[in-house]
Amino acid sequence: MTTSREIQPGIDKTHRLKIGTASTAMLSQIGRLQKMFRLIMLYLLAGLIALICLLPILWMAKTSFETPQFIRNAQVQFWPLQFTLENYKNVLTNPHAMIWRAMLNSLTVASIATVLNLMITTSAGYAMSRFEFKGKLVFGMYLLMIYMIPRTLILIGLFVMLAKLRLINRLMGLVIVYAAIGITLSIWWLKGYFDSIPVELEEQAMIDGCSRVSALRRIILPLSMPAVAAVGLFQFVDCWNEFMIALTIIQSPQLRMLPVQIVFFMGIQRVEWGPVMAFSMIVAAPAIILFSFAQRNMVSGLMAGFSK
Amino acid sequence: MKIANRFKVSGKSVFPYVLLLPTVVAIIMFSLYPFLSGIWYSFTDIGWVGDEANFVGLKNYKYILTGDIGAARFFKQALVQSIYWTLTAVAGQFVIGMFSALVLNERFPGRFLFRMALLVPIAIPTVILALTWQWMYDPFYGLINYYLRLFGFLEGPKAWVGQPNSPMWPLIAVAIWRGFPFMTVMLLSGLQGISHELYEAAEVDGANVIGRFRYITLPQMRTIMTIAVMLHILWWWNHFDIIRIVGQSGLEFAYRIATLPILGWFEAFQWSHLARGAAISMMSMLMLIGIMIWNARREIRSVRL
Repeated sequence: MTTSREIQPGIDKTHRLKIGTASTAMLSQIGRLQKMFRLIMLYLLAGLIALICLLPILWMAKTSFETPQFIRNAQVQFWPLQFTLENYKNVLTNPHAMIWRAMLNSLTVASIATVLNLMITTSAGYAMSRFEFKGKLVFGMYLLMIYMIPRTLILIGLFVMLAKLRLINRLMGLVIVYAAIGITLSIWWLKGYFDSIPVELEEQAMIDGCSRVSALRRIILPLSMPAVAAVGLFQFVDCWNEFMIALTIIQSPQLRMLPVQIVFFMGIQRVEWGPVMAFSMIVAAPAIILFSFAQRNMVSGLMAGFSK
Repeated sequence: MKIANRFKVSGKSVFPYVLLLPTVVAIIMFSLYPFLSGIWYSFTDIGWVGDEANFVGLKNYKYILTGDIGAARFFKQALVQSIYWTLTAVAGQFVIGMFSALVLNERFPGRFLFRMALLVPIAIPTVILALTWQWMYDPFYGLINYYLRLFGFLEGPKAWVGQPNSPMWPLIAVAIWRGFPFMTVMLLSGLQGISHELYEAAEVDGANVIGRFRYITLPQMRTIMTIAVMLHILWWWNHFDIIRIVGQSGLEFAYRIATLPILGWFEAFQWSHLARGAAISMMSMLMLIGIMIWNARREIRSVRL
């Protein structure tokens, strides 16, 4: 099926009439050549875009596996590589890197915050999807509004409040803040997903004698597990990557999260880029793995959130 | 349908409120209250936590706008820097994002692989980006200097970032790189919504590629373009990580590249003056709201009519 979009502007109808006397074989050959040309152009352009996106990451990966004396070489080369795991060994065993401790902190804080966030937003998203109630519009508008308040301004009030609660310089403080900041995105995302589940399913269950709560628990929750997992993944990566709040609230080196720790580590290392890039690879790994794993969910979920 | 409505509206039950309660509590405690107290602190003399917050009116604002020591010395510079940083970064993101959206909207085999590559800059933590790009900008062994020297654009090693007189645009390049894939994703969803018949009709009328872009794509995309640009302005005006981390190399440089939110952060948390930091953040937010309203003036007018 050829839509007219694929016909190149060069061959319009008048043109075709003019060369109507030429053999059809020749005509189809021109068409094929043009199609080929279009494909080649598209691949070149798309390839350029992909290369731009991937180059810094490839460069980071390459440096992290490179032998140190080759990193400090005026000759830059992508290939061949003097492959070594020395940088990783250095980072994982260097007491100044404190990577294990930071990893444990990040893992703990991000997982607990994600679970807390999902627990409150799943029920809120369900309420936003299934019920009409007083204040729904106001609540929805407010959810969007807090998205617009600059985090630096919230952070100042938050800092004073956390200090009063004695949660400054505590991982617990970070957990609570992280669980709260992702609320808007989670609710909109989950609401969009619940909207796509037909109400009839619950009605059927309720006619069969289920209560609203057990209909929610037995039918809607299992059905929406993929969406909840995708939202959870996104929240986890968001907490894992967060820098500003982690930098502000945590002061003692033992409690630093990974992104903060790597910046301090970089301050110590300064010119040794090998270990810094190995550290970077470790910090970036969950994000890359999770995102490539959930690629389709991510894009459609993001899109659903924004088309609202 | 009737049954569905009955179930949806199902009376004045308290159930939805019960479901929403934890979220509402969390929002009030961790965003509404801190936000309002942040505004309140900007009118007080609070220095650090534990200090008493006494109301001082507009003193902090006056200090920042007219003073010439401390953060006040950098305020005008940070304001200019904020506008420069946001507008150039978002403009770059928009142009490159639109271009990639147009390319990736065409049909060709293996397109999804190229679309997947777009997600890489979105997924990587900004902290890692800031470090990796600093390494790429490295004066002696970095990738960028090497190729610039190889092709003869550069004589000797050049430090792109971190020096007191380093320019802003290497950072803006990072911001564009980080931001354009999301712009592409949003614009792509807009492009997919344009019906093919419009293009076919235009083609019959003799419009070429540029004409079709100008008279069909752009008008059809008006809303999604406005939303995408506004969201990116919002994000990049408030962006913290890249500028803060690159500024780690020296306080003088850090202040020179600081945008308003970062100047506010420095004043509040580096120099332990929460009140002035809050005042700077407030002014930053007001500026941002002004820019957003100006950006959406056409939409706002059409809503009113």
